[in-house]
Amino acid sequence: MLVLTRKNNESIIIGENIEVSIVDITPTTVKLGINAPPSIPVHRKEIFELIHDENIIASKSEIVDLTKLSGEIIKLKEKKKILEIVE
Amino acid sequence: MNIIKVKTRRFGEIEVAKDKIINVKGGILGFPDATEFTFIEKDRKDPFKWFQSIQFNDLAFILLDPFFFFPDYKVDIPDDVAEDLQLETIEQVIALVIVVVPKNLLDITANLLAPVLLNPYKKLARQVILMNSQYSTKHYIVPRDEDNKQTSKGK
Repeated sequence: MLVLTRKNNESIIIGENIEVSIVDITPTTVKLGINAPPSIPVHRKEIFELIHDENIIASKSEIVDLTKLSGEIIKLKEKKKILEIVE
Repeated sequence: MNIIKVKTRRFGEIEVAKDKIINVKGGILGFPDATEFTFIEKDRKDPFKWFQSIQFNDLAFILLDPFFFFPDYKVDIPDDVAEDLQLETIEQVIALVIVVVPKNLLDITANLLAPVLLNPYKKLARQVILMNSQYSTKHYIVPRDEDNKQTSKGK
């Protein structure tokens, strides 16, 4: 991994059109400013990984009859509603 | 007739008209090479649809029309997405969310944080991570007693 030292308000350029600047530094956090073309999505890594993992889980769904599935779910929701009213 | 035959693990061999192939820009996150999909639906009124990969016979997602179960769901379309999907107006876009269907149907969840946005006219789609959103990757469709309140707060 390339490691560079930067001070507050300094920046680095990735490729020709992505700029990452240090906006603020505190003892525990670093605030980054990112200038990138709209076609380059920028996300916090943990959110990216969360969605990545969720997609992998979703790709393992096996139920084939979706008409039956929505019927079942509507029934379950109705049941919940009735229970709430009774309570 | 521009029809191709696609082998799929779940549905066997299916016939897909070329104009029914959706191009997913950048693929579905985690599957960057899966850029071509088609919808498999038995009944158009079903809120759930299968989204089958053309390139990978094993790969398919269940997509849900989020407004069916989450009527207050809101999606802001970022400019670059509108551009990618060649949207002429924002009304053209269709939002769908990926669901996880576990064995216990009570635990079915929808990923409201990263919807698949679709321009049905141009057959273009993209999975988008909503920025600064209160949504998560797991919203229960059948409300649970304990986080009933949480679900409604998330809207």
